Amino acid sequence: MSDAVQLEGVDFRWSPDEPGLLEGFDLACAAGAVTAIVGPSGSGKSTLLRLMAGLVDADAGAVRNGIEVPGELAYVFQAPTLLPWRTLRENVGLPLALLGTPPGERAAAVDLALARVGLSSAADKLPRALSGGMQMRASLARALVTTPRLLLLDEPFSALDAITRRRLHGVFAAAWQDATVVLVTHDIDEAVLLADRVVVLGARPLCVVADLPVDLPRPRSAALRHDPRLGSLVGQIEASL
Amino acid sequence: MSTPRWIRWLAPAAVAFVAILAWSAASARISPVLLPSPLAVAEAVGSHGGTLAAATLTTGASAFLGLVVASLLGIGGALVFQRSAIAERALYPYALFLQTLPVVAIAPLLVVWLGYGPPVAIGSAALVSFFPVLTSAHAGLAAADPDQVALMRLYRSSWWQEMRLLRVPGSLPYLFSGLRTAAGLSTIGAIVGEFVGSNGFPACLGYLVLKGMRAAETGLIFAAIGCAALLATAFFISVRTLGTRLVGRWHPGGSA
Repeated sequence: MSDAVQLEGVDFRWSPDEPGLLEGFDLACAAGAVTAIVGPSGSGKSTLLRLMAGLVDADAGAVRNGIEVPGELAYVFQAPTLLPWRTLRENVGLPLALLGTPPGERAAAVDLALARVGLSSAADKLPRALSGGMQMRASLARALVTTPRLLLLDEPFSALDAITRRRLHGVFAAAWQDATVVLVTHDIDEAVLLADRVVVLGARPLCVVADLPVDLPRPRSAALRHDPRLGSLVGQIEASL
Repeated sequence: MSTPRWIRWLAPAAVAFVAILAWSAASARISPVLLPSPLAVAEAVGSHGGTLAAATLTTGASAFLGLVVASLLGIGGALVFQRSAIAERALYPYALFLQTLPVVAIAPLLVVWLGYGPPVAIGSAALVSFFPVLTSAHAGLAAADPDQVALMRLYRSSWWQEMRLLRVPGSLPYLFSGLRTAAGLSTIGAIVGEFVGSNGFPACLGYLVLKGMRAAETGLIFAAIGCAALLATAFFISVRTLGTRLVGRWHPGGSA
Protein backbone atom coordinates (compact mmCIF):
# COMPACT_ATOMS: atom_id res chain seq x y z
CA MET A 1 0.00 0.00 0.00
CA SER A 2 1.49 3.39 -1.01
CA ASP A 3 1.62 6.34 1.33
CA ALA A 4 -0.91 9.14 0.89
CA VAL A 5 0.65 11.44 3.47
CA GLN A 6 4.34 11.70 4.25
CA LEU A 7 6.18 13.89 6.70
CA GLU A 8 9.96 13.70 6.51
CA GLY A 9 12.30 15.45 8.91
CA VAL A 10 9.68 18.09 9.73
CA ASP A 11 10.54 20.94 12.09
CA PHE A 12 7.84 23.26 13.32
CA ARG A 13 7.46 25.89 16.01
CA TRP A 14 4.70 28.46 16.42
CA SER A 15 7.11 31.30 17.13
CA PRO A 16 10.90 31.64 17.29
CA ASP A 17 10.74 32.14 21.08
CA GLU A 18 9.02 28.82 21.71
CA PRO A 19 10.61 25.38 21.84
CA GLY A 20 10.12 23.26 18.73
CA LEU A 21 6.85 21.39 18.54
CA LEU A 22 8.22 19.06 15.88
CA GLU A 23 11.91 18.38 15.38
CA GLY A 24 12.93 16.07 12.56
CA PHE A 25 9.52 14.38 12.74
CA ASP A 26 8.75 11.50 10.36
CA LEU A 27 5.38 9.86 9.69
CA ALA A 28 3.72 8.17 6.74
CA CYS A 29 0.02 7.30 6.43
CA ALA A 30 -1.01 4.58 3.99
CA ALA A 31 -3.43 5.38 1.17
CA GLY A 32 -6.95 4.09 1.72
CA ALA A 33 -6.33 3.33 5.38
CA VAL A 34 -7.62 4.94 8.54
CA THR A 35 -4.76 6.13 10.73
CA ALA A 36 -5.63 7.29 14.22
CA ILE A 37 -3.26 9.58 16.06
CA VAL A 38 -3.52 9.65 19.83
CA GLY A 39 -1.46 11.51 22.36
CA PRO A 40 -1.60 13.75 25.40
CA SER A 41 -3.49 17.04 25.23
CA GLY A 42 -1.36 19.90 23.96
CA SER A 43 1.19 17.57 22.41
CA GLY A 44 0.62 19.01 18.94
CA LYS A 45 -1.71 16.47 17.33
CA SER A 46 -3.90 19.17 15.77
CA THR A 47 -0.86 21.04 14.52
CA LEU A 48 0.32 17.83 12.87
CA LEU A 49 -3.01 17.60 11.07
CA ARG A 50 -2.80 21.25 10.01
CA LEU A 51 0.65 20.59 8.58
CA MET A 52 -0.74 17.64 6.63
CA ALA A 53 -3.53 19.89 5.29
CA GLY A 54 -1.12 22.65 4.34
CA LEU A 55 -2.88 25.09 6.67
CA VAL A 56 0.47 25.81 8.29
CA ASP A 57 3.92 25.48 6.76
CA ALA A 58 6.78 23.46 8.20
CA ASP A 59 9.94 25.35 9.14
CA ALA A 60 12.04 22.55 7.65
CA GLY A 61 11.54 19.10 6.14
CA ALA A 62 8.97 17.88 3.66
CA VAL A 63 5.20 17.41 3.95
CA ARG A 64 3.55 15.60 1.05
CA ASN A 65 -0.17 14.89 0.82
CA GLY A 66 -0.47 14.21 -2.89
CA ILE A 67 -3.27 16.75 -3.29
CA GLU A 68 -3.21 18.50 -6.63
CA VAL A 69 -6.76 19.80 -6.96
CA PRO A 70 -8.73 21.59 -4.21
CA GLY A 71 -11.55 19.37 -3.05
CA GLU A 72 -9.40 16.24 -2.93
CA LEU A 73 -8.61 17.09 0.67
CA ALA A 74 -11.25 17.65 3.34
CA TYR A 75 -10.92 18.61 6.97
CA VAL A 76 -13.33 18.16 9.86
CA PHE A 77 -12.59 20.49 12.74
CA GLN A 78 -13.24 19.94 16.45
CA ALA A 79 -16.25 22.27 16.22
CA PRO A 80 -18.76 21.91 13.37
CA THR A 81 -17.68 25.33 11.93
CA LEU A 82 -20.98 25.66 10.07
CA LEU A 83 -21.89 29.15 8.89
CA PRO A 84 -24.90 30.06 11.04
CA TRP A 85 -26.62 32.17 8.35
CA ARG A 86 -26.63 29.35 5.79
CA THR A 87 -28.99 26.40 5.79
CA LEU A 88 -27.57 22.93 6.12
CA ARG A 89 -27.89 22.45 2.37
CA GLU A 90 -25.99 25.69 1.74
CA ASN A 91 -23.33 24.80 4.31
CA VAL A 92 -22.75 21.37 2.84
CA GLY A 93 -22.62 22.88 -0.64
CA LEU A 94 -20.10 25.54 0.38
CA PRO A 95 -16.97 23.67 -0.84
CA LEU A 96 -18.62 23.09 -4.20
CA ALA A 97 -19.66 26.75 -4.42
CA LEU A 98 -16.05 27.73 -3.74
CA LEU A 99 -14.81 25.33 -6.38
CA GLY A 100 -17.26 26.74 -8.94
CA THR A 101 -19.31 23.57 -9.40
CA PRO A 102 -22.46 24.24 -11.50
CA PRO A 103 -25.66 24.55 -9.37
CA GLY A 104 -27.34 21.41 -10.74
CA GLU A 105 -24.32 19.22 -10.11
CA ARG A 106 -23.88 20.85 -6.72
CA ALA A 107 -27.46 20.13 -5.64
CA ALA A 108 -27.13 16.44 -6.53
CA ALA A 109 -23.83 16.10 -4.63
CA VAL A 110 -25.25 17.90 -1.59
CA ASP A 111 -28.34 15.67 -1.53
CA LEU A 112 -26.11 12.58 -1.68
CA ALA A 113 -23.78 13.83 1.08
CA LEU A 114 -26.71 14.71 3.34
CA ALA A 115 -28.27 11.30 2.72
CA ARG A 116 -24.98 9.57 3.65
CA VAL A 117 -25.05 11.16 7.09
CA GLY A 118 -28.83 10.84 7.51
CA LEU A 119 -29.65 14.54 7.40
CA SER A 120 -31.82 14.80 4.28
CA SER A 121 -34.87 15.85 6.28
CA ALA A 122 -32.98 18.71 7.95
CA ALA A 123 -31.50 20.13 4.73
CA ASP A 124 -33.33 23.44 4.89
CA LYS A 125 -32.78 24.12 8.58
CA LEU A 126 -30.29 26.57 10.01
CA PRO A 127 -27.50 25.15 12.20
CA ARG A 128 -28.94 26.69 15.36
CA ALA A 129 -32.01 24.48 14.94
CA LEU A 130 -29.87 21.33 15.13
CA SER A 131 -28.30 19.36 17.97
CA GLY A 132 -24.52 19.19 18.38
CA GLY A 133 -24.46 15.69 16.93
CA MET A 134 -26.46 16.75 13.87
CA GLN A 135 -24.17 19.72 13.33
CA MET A 136 -21.16 17.39 13.44
CA ARG A 137 -22.81 15.10 10.89
CA ALA A 138 -23.41 18.14 8.68
CA SER A 139 -19.75 19.01 9.07
CA LEU A 140 -18.86 15.51 7.88
CA ALA A 141 -21.28 15.82 4.95
CA ARG A 142 -19.58 19.08 3.98
CA ALA A 143 -16.21 17.30 4.06
CA LEU A 144 -17.51 14.40 1.96
CA VAL A 145 -19.36 16.44 -0.63
CA THR A 146 -16.31 16.79 -2.86
CA THR A 147 -15.52 13.04 -2.58
CA PRO A 148 -12.09 13.72 -1.08
CA ARG A 149 -9.15 11.36 -1.39
CA LEU A 150 -7.74 12.53 1.95
CA LEU A 151 -9.94 13.18 4.96
CA LEU A 152 -8.39 14.79 8.04
CA LEU A 153 -10.45 14.64 11.24
CA ASP A 154 -9.41 16.74 14.20
CA GLU A 155 -11.14 15.28 17.27
CA PRO A 156 -14.55 15.58 15.63
CA PHE A 157 -16.34 13.81 18.49
CA SER A 158 -14.63 15.46 21.44
CA ALA A 159 -17.38 17.97 22.23
CA LEU A 160 -20.18 15.40 22.07
CA ASP A 161 -21.75 13.34 24.81
CA ALA A 162 -20.86 9.65 24.99
CA ILE A 163 -24.11 8.36 23.47
CA THR A 164 -24.00 10.75 20.50
CA ARG A 165 -20.32 9.97 20.02
CA ARG A 166 -20.99 6.24 19.78
CA ARG A 167 -23.78 6.83 17.27
CA LEU A 168 -21.56 9.01 15.15
CA HIS A 169 -18.73 6.49 15.05
CA GLY A 170 -20.92 4.29 12.87
CA VAL A 171 -22.02 7.19 10.68
CA PHE A 172 -18.45 8.32 10.10
CA ALA A 173 -17.03 4.86 9.46
CA ALA A 174 -19.74 4.15 6.88
CA ALA A 175 -19.37 7.51 5.17
CA TRP A 176 -15.65 7.85 4.56
CA GLN A 177 -15.51 4.74 2.31
CA ASP A 178 -12.28 4.54 0.29
CA ALA A 179 -10.67 7.80 1.36
CA THR A 180 -7.40 7.95 3.24
CA VAL A 181 -8.35 9.07 6.73
CA VAL A 182 -6.20 10.56 9.46
CA LEU A 183 -8.11 10.84 12.72
CA VAL A 184 -6.73 12.79 15.65
CA THR A 185 -8.37 11.80 18.91
CA HIS A 186 -7.67 11.54 22.61
CA ASP A 187 -10.16 8.70 22.97
CA ILE A 188 -8.22 5.43 22.80
CA ASP A 189 -11.33 3.23 22.41
CA GLU A 190 -12.44 5.40 19.52
CA ALA A 191 -9.04 5.18 17.86
CA VAL A 192 -8.98 1.38 18.04
CA LEU A 193 -12.60 1.01 16.97
CA LEU A 194 -12.29 3.21 13.90
CA ALA A 195 -8.70 2.87 12.68
CA ASP A 196 -6.54 0.38 10.80
CA ARG A 197 -3.52 1.69 12.64
CA VAL A 198 -2.98 3.71 15.80
CA VAL A 199 0.02 6.02 16.12
CA VAL A 200 0.73 7.05 19.70
CA LEU A 201 2.57 10.34 20.08
CA GLY A 202 4.71 11.56 22.95
CA ALA A 203 4.92 15.12 24.17
CA ARG A 204 7.17 17.91 22.86
CA PRO A 205 9.04 17.63 20.71
CA LEU A 206 6.51 15.34 19.11
CA CYS A 207 7.67 11.75 18.64
CA VAL A 208 6.06 8.42 17.82
CA VAL A 209 6.12 6.27 20.95
CA ALA A 210 4.03 3.40 19.58
CA ASP A 211 2.72 2.38 16.17
CA LEU A 212 0.15 -0.39 16.33
CA PRO A 213 -1.77 -2.08 13.53
CA VAL A 214 -5.43 -2.79 14.33
CA ASP A 215 -6.25 -6.20 12.88
CA LEU A 216 -9.92 -6.24 13.72
CA PRO A 217 -12.53 -7.24 11.14
CA ARG A 218 -14.66 -4.64 9.34
CA PRO A 219 -17.35 -3.50 9.53
CA ARG A 220 -16.84 -2.94 13.23
CA SER A 221 -19.98 -2.89 15.28
CA ALA A 222 -20.49 -1.50 18.76
CA ALA A 223 -20.34 -5.10 20.04
CA LEU A 224 -16.63 -5.08 19.23
CA ARG A 225 -16.11 -2.85 22.24
CA HIS A 226 -16.34 -6.01 24.37
CA ASP A 227 -13.87 -7.98 22.21
CA PRO A 228 -10.74 -8.97 24.20
CA ARG A 229 -8.52 -8.06 21.21
CA LEU A 230 -9.77 -4.49 21.42
CA GLY A 231 -9.14 -4.47 25.14
CA SER A 232 -5.60 -5.76 24.56
CA LEU A 233 -4.85 -3.01 22.03
CA VAL A 234 -6.27 -0.35 24.32
CA GLY A 235 -4.06 -1.69 27.10
CA GLN A 236 -0.96 -1.50 24.90
CA ILE A 237 -1.74 2.09 23.93
CA GLU A 238 -2.42 3.12 27.52
CA ALA A 239 0.88 1.58 28.55
CA SER A 240 2.77 3.55 25.92
CA LEU A 241 1.24 6.92 26.85
CA MET B 1 -39.42 34.64 35.21
CA SER B 2 -39.93 37.16 32.38
CA THR B 3 -41.57 40.54 32.99
CA PRO B 4 -45.26 40.57 31.97
CA ARG B 5 -45.92 42.46 28.74
CA TRP B 6 -48.26 45.00 30.35
CA ILE B 7 -45.59 45.96 32.91
CA ARG B 8 -43.09 46.58 30.12
CA TRP B 9 -45.46 49.18 28.65
CA LEU B 10 -46.97 50.50 31.84
CA ALA B 11 -43.68 51.13 33.69
CA PRO B 12 -42.23 53.70 31.23
CA ALA B 13 -45.72 55.25 30.77
CA ALA B 14 -45.99 55.71 34.53
CA VAL B 15 -42.53 57.33 34.61
CA ALA B 16 -43.59 59.72 31.80
CA PHE B 17 -46.80 60.58 33.66
CA VAL B 18 -44.95 61.32 36.89
CA ALA B 19 -42.29 63.34 35.01
CA ILE B 20 -44.96 65.48 33.31
CA LEU B 21 -46.67 66.07 36.67
CA ALA B 22 -43.34 67.10 38.21
CA TRP B 23 -42.55 69.28 35.20
CA SER B 24 -45.98 70.98 35.48
CA ALA B 25 -45.49 71.59 39.17
CA ALA B 26 -41.97 72.99 38.65
CA SER B 27 -43.02 75.22 35.73
CA ALA B 28 -45.73 76.83 37.89
CA ARG B 29 -42.99 78.19 40.15
CA ILE B 30 -40.38 79.11 37.48
CA SER B 31 -40.46 81.80 34.79
CA PRO B 32 -41.90 80.39 31.48
CA VAL B 33 -38.81 81.75 29.71
CA LEU B 34 -36.68 79.36 31.72
CA LEU B 35 -39.08 76.42 31.90
CA PRO B 36 -42.30 76.45 29.88
CA SER B 37 -45.15 74.27 31.10
CA PRO B 38 -46.09 71.11 29.18
CA LEU B 39 -49.18 73.00 28.01
CA ALA B 40 -47.06 75.86 26.64
CA VAL B 41 -44.93 73.32 24.73
CA ALA B 42 -48.10 71.74 23.35
CA GLU B 43 -49.29 75.21 22.27
CA ALA B 44 -45.93 75.81 20.57
CA VAL B 45 -46.34 72.51 18.73
CA GLY B 46 -49.84 73.60 17.70
CA SER B 47 -48.85 77.05 16.48
CA HIS B 48 -45.61 75.93 14.74
CA GLY B 49 -46.87 72.47 13.69
CA GLY B 50 -46.27 72.92 9.96
CA THR B 51 -42.81 74.42 10.47
CA LEU B 52 -41.83 71.74 12.99
CA ALA B 53 -42.95 68.97 10.64
CA ALA B 54 -41.03 70.45 7.72
CA ALA B 55 -37.98 71.03 9.92
CA THR B 56 -38.11 67.46 11.22
CA LEU B 57 -38.22 66.17 7.64
CA THR B 58 -35.27 68.35 6.62
CA THR B 59 -33.15 67.41 9.63
CA GLY B 60 -34.20 63.76 9.23
CA ALA B 61 -33.17 63.79 5.57
CA SER B 62 -29.80 65.37 6.45
CA ALA B 63 -29.20 62.87 9.26
CA PHE B 64 -30.23 59.97 7.02
CA LEU B 65 -28.00 61.07 4.14
CA GLY B 66 -25.15 61.64 6.60
CA LEU B 67 -25.68 58.14 7.94
CA VAL B 68 -25.67 56.71 4.42
CA VAL B 69 -22.43 58.54 3.57
CA ALA B 70 -20.86 57.40 6.87
CA SER B 71 -21.99 53.81 6.24
CA LEU B 72 -20.56 53.74 2.72
CA LEU B 73 -17.26 55.24 3.86
CA GLY B 74 -17.10 53.19 7.08
CA ILE B 75 -17.87 49.85 5.43
CA GLY B 76 -15.63 50.69 2.48
CA GLY B 77 -12.81 51.63 4.87
CA ALA B 78 -13.26 48.42 6.84
CA LEU B 79 -13.06 46.37 3.63
CA VAL B 80 -9.87 48.20 2.64
CA PHE B 81 -8.40 47.52 6.11
CA GLN B 82 -9.35 43.86 5.78
CA ARG B 83 -7.76 43.68 2.33
CA SER B 84 -4.50 45.41 3.23
CA ALA B 85 -2.73 45.34 6.58
CA ILE B 86 -0.49 48.15 5.32
CA ALA B 87 -3.52 50.33 4.56
CA GLU B 88 -4.91 49.54 8.00
CA ARG B 89 -1.66 50.51 9.71
CA ALA B 90 -1.36 53.65 7.61
CA LEU B 91 -4.94 54.90 7.89
CA TYR B 92 -6.39 53.63 11.16
CA PRO B 93 -4.56 56.20 13.35
CA TYR B 94 -6.08 58.97 11.23
CA ALA B 95 -9.53 57.45 11.60
CA LEU B 96 -8.95 57.55 15.36
CA PHE B 97 -7.75 61.14 15.05
CA LEU B 98 -10.91 62.04 13.13
CA GLN B 99 -12.95 60.63 15.98
CA THR B 100 -11.27 62.94 18.48
CA LEU B 101 -12.10 66.12 16.53
CA PRO B 102 -15.08 67.95 18.06
CA VAL B 103 -17.77 68.28 15.41
CA VAL B 104 -18.73 71.70 16.79
CA ALA B 105 -15.25 72.93 15.85
CA ILE B 106 -15.34 71.30 12.42
CA ALA B 107 -18.81 72.53 11.43
CA PRO B 108 -17.70 76.13 10.65
CA LEU B 109 -15.08 74.68 8.34
CA LEU B 110 -17.83 72.71 6.60
CA VAL B 111 -19.69 75.99 6.06
CA VAL B 112 -16.56 77.45 4.46
CA TRP B 113 -16.24 74.43 2.19
CA LEU B 114 -19.89 73.66 1.45
CA GLY B 115 -21.74 76.95 2.00
CA TYR B 116 -24.91 77.44 4.01
CA GLY B 117 -27.62 74.79 3.78
CA PRO B 118 -28.25 71.07 4.26
CA PRO B 119 -24.83 69.89 2.93
CA VAL B 120 -23.22 71.17 6.17
CA ALA B 121 -25.71 69.18 8.24
CA ILE B 122 -25.14 66.10 6.06
CA GLY B 123 -21.36 66.46 6.37
CA SER B 124 -21.56 66.96 10.10
CA ALA B 125 -23.87 63.95 10.51
CA ALA B 126 -21.52 61.85 8.38
CA LEU B 127 -18.52 62.95 10.41
CA VAL B 128 -19.93 61.86 13.78
CA SER B 129 -21.47 58.64 12.41
CA PHE B 130 -18.44 57.45 10.47
CA PHE B 131 -16.30 56.13 13.31
CA PRO B 132 -18.85 53.77 14.94
CA VAL B 133 -19.59 52.28 11.52
CA LEU B 134 -15.91 51.89 10.66
CA THR B 135 -14.92 50.29 13.97
CA SER B 136 -17.90 47.94 14.13
CA ALA B 137 -17.51 46.83 10.50
CA HIS B 138 -13.77 46.43 10.99
CA ALA B 139 -14.25 44.36 14.16
CA GLY B 140 -16.93 42.25 12.49
CA LEU B 141 -14.82 41.48 9.42
CA ALA B 142 -11.88 40.52 11.64
CA ALA B 143 -13.99 38.36 13.95
CA ALA B 144 -14.41 35.40 11.60
CA ASP B 145 -13.73 32.04 13.26
CA PRO B 146 -10.14 31.02 12.34
CA ASP B 147 -11.33 27.47 11.56
CA GLN B 148 -13.95 28.83 9.16
CA VAL B 149 -11.26 30.92 7.50
CA ALA B 150 -9.04 27.82 7.31
CA LEU B 151 -11.93 25.92 5.74
CA MET B 152 -12.33 28.57 3.04
CA ARG B 153 -8.61 28.46 2.34
CA LEU B 154 -8.58 24.68 2.05
CA TYR B 155 -10.76 25.13 -1.01
CA ARG B 156 -8.49 27.93 -2.20
CA SER B 157 -11.17 30.60 -1.97
CA SER B 158 -10.43 34.03 -3.40
CA TRP B 159 -10.39 37.12 -1.17
CA TRP B 160 -13.72 38.14 -2.65
CA GLN B 161 -15.27 34.70 -1.92
CA GLU B 162 -13.99 34.85 1.64
CA MET B 163 -15.58 38.30 2.05
CA ARG B 164 -18.86 37.47 0.35
CA LEU B 165 -19.46 34.05 1.85
CA LEU B 166 -17.85 34.35 5.27
CA ARG B 167 -16.63 37.68 6.58
CA VAL B 168 -19.31 40.10 5.38
CA PRO B 169 -22.33 38.05 6.53
CA GLY B 170 -20.53 37.22 9.79
CA SER B 171 -19.81 40.91 10.40
CA LEU B 172 -23.47 41.99 10.20
CA PRO B 173 -24.25 41.63 13.93
CA TYR B 174 -21.25 43.86 14.71
CA LEU B 175 -22.16 46.31 11.96
CA PHE B 176 -25.74 46.70 13.16
CA SER B 177 -24.48 47.33 16.68
CA GLY B 178 -22.35 50.19 15.31
CA LEU B 179 -25.15 51.43 13.06
CA ARG B 180 -27.49 51.73 16.04
CA THR B 181 -24.99 54.02 17.74
CA ALA B 182 -24.36 55.90 14.49
CA ALA B 183 -28.11 56.34 13.89
CA GLY B 184 -28.49 58.29 17.13
CA LEU B 185 -25.31 60.26 16.53
CA SER B 186 -26.34 61.24 12.99
CA THR B 187 -29.28 63.27 14.33
CA ILE B 188 -27.00 65.05 16.80
CA GLY B 189 -24.47 65.70 14.03
CA ALA B 190 -27.13 67.08 11.69
CA ILE B 191 -28.45 69.47 14.34
CA VAL B 192 -24.92 70.68 15.20
CA GLY B 193 -24.36 71.28 11.49
CA GLU B 194 -27.63 73.22 11.33
CA PHE B 195 -26.67 75.38 14.31
CA VAL B 196 -23.70 76.64 12.34
CA GLY B 197 -24.63 76.20 8.72
CA SER B 198 -28.34 76.97 8.39
CA ASN B 199 -29.88 80.33 7.45
CA GLY B 200 -33.41 79.03 7.98
CA PHE B 201 -34.02 77.88 4.42
CA PRO B 202 -35.14 75.17 4.39
CA ALA B 203 -36.52 75.09 7.94
CA CYS B 204 -34.65 72.65 10.15
CA LEU B 205 -34.64 71.70 13.82
CA GLY B 206 -31.22 73.20 14.56
CA TYR B 207 -32.31 76.55 13.18
CA LEU B 208 -35.63 76.42 15.07
CA VAL B 209 -33.77 75.88 18.35
CA LEU B 210 -31.61 78.96 17.65
CA LYS B 211 -34.67 80.94 16.56
CA GLY B 212 -36.48 79.98 19.77
CA MET B 213 -33.45 81.01 21.81
CA ARG B 214 -33.19 84.42 20.13
CA ALA B 215 -36.92 85.09 20.51
CA ALA B 216 -37.00 83.66 24.04
CA GLU B 217 -39.61 81.16 22.80
CA THR B 218 -38.57 78.35 25.11
CA GLY B 219 -41.69 76.38 24.21
CA LEU B 220 -40.49 76.22 20.59
CA ILE B 221 -37.05 75.04 21.74
CA PHE B 222 -38.65 72.27 23.78
CA ALA B 223 -40.86 71.31 20.84
CA ALA B 224 -37.85 71.18 18.49
CA ILE B 225 -35.88 69.10 21.01
CA GLY B 226 -38.84 66.73 21.28
CA CYS B 227 -38.93 66.37 17.49
CA ALA B 228 -35.17 65.69 17.44
CA ALA B 229 -35.57 63.03 20.12
CA LEU B 230 -38.40 61.40 18.17
CA LEU B 231 -36.27 61.49 15.03
CA ALA B 232 -33.28 59.84 16.72
CA THR B 233 -35.57 57.23 18.28
CA ALA B 234 -37.17 56.51 14.90
CA PHE B 235 -33.70 56.04 13.35
CA PHE B 236 -32.61 53.78 16.18
CA ILE B 237 -35.74 51.62 15.92
CA SER B 238 -35.48 51.47 12.11
CA VAL B 239 -31.88 50.26 12.26
CA ARG B 240 -32.71 47.76 14.99
CA THR B 241 -35.68 46.45 13.00
CA LEU B 242 -33.56 46.13 9.86
CA GLY B 243 -30.87 44.31 11.86
CA THR B 244 -33.41 41.91 13.32
CA ARG B 245 -34.85 41.27 9.85
CA LEU B 246 -31.46 40.58 8.27
CA VAL B 247 -29.61 38.90 11.11
CA GLY B 248 -32.14 37.88 13.77
CA ARG B 249 -32.91 34.64 11.95
CA TRP B 250 -29.49 33.27 12.89
CA HIS B 251 -28.17 35.70 15.50
CA PRO B 252 -30.24 36.40 18.62
CA GLY B 253 -31.09 40.09 18.93
CA GLY B 254 -29.84 41.01 15.49
CA SER B 255 -26.61 42.61 16.64
CA ALA B 256 -23.42 41.82 18.58
